[in-house]
Amino acid sequence: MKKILEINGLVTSFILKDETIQAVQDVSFYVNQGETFGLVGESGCGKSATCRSVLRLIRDPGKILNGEIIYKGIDLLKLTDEEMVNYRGSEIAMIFQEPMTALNPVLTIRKQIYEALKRQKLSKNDMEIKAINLLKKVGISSPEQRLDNYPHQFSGGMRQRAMIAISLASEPALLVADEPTTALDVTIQDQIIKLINNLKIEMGMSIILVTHDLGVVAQMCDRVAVMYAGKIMESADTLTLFSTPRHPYTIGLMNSIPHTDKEHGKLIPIEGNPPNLSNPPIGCPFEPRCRYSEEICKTKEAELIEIGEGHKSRCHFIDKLIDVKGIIEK
Amino acid sequence: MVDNKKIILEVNNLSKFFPVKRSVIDMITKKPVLNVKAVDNVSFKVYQGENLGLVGESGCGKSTLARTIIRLYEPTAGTITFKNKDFTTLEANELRKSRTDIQMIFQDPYSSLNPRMSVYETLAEAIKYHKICEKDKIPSKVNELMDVVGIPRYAANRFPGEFSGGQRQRIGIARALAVEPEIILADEPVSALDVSIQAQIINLINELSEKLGLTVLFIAHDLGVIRYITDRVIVMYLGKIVEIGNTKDLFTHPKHPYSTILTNAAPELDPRLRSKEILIEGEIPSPINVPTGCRFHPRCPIAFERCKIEEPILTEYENDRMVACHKPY
Repeated sequence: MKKILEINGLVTSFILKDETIQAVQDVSFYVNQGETFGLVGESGCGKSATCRSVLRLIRDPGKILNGEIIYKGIDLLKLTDEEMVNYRGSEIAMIFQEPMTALNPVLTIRKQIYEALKRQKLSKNDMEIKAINLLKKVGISSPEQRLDNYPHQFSGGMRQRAMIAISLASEPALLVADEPTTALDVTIQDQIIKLINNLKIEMGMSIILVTHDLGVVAQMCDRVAVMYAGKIMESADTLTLFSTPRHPYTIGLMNSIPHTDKEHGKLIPIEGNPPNLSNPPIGCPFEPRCRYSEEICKTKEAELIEIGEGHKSRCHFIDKLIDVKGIIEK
Repeated sequence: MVDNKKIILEVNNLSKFFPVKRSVIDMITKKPVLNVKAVDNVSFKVYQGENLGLVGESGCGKSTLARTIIRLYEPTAGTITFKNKDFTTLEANELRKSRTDIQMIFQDPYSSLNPRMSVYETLAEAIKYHKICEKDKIPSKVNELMDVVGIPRYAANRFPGEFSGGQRQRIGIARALAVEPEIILADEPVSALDVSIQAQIINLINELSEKLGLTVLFIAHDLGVIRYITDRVIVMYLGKIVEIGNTKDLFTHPKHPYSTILTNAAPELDPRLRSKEILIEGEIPSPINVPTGCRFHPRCPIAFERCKIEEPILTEYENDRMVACHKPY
């Protein structure tokens, strides 16, 4: 399979007056052509900072300090700001969690789609046809009338659809979706998940999906990386991760999700809180909360090593986890 | 679960409407006053010691219902009876006394705690105000509360800003327990938290309700959480109750088409179970112009002529199930 994006050793930090927050620490992964790659983790784990780094959308005081982001053979981090403009939005597009803050409230949907179409130098008539088709594609009814609405005249689900339409206007090869369904109700979430899944196949896109919700991962992703404290802890294809998780954090996450009644699956929370990223622990960042930890974990961090086909884990004691069952049976 | 079903709280025909703001022109042209029918003629019972869930999507009226029950909002119509006492007509000073009966835990622990009060002050204030114990016993009572919710005693003089989201929610729970209530209304208490922390708080609420014999009305949009924590569940749609039942029965055999869709809408955790079929088209209509007949009929997969005209009544079925549908499954 062809890789469309490859990230090697990405380091992104936020440099504040008296501390440096190491949001992304040596993250490497790749995305194949036509697949959905998930980045999953809890707040502050660096998943959003990673995907914003791909588009070089990290703002001061944040800085990408190291690494390569190779998109179709070109290292995006080596491009000038002007050159980057050719990629951002047109080759790689992004959709955000909160459509109300991502859309411009004083422009009609028409103007915002036209802006995304500008590079294609179409006639006015063609632009209108294309804009209407885009709204149709994302499931907005009577698009002819809706085109001249402002974002506040749309409901939450429709705004998210409009944002997806805008991001698709330039027919991007890679779509970066940062928690696209988190702000939506479950029935609307269901609609948006299926919409993005269908568009991916129809347009042959690749997707990086950032989410905290393992259910959304199961429904959308082909492969997935679990992040914790700025690092990838485990990565695998989705079925393998859900059936045979091999990192204590992944296992902890799965045991924390209520998905049935009390009698059938007791919730086992992960005790404690995530570490402070301005002063991360020397050893494994998960050690203070880990039920399998031993002395070595406090001082030495494990490498992210391959433990099966396409399955990587960062843990000294993978042997201890050999019998752990995931949330589903393979 | 509840053995001897003693009713602790009864809500009868409760409504809460919010008038829509009118412009001067609307008034001159005598346009009729429009109302947001957030809660419309809702009745149900809460049994002593049970965990009752209230579930529905945003705008279904679940939070308004909770706030009306403790009279943070004045009800438009209907009655709330707590232990044979009419909560609806209580005067201000009686109401203040009755606040110790029902307490609320809020969704956002960041905005529901006073940022300028330490944990000790927050908890002691409630105890002092409601005269829960002798003045000299307040420090030990605060310590006891902190132990119960798992906040270390040495943190008593810290301020909310110094705690993480999960710990703040623990403080919010301690604050509610401080006045020794009989009922806790928990309004989305875990939805602002990360899953690993969420599980801690769910287990805490579960333990507390068992240990202290509390009655909990648990409001959430997350069906996984509701299924896990509650004994019975009420499903709401657009200001109305569509179904009430034992959690287990309702999740395995929902009778109302909306409950069916809702219980299936949460993304399946198995990547092999992916479907392309969309469960339900469209979105929740505006609560100002509610659809005629059954409010769910424009989105309902099995609606027929009668549903457009006649509003279904919440009717009792076997196993304490109540459903408002002309053609329940």
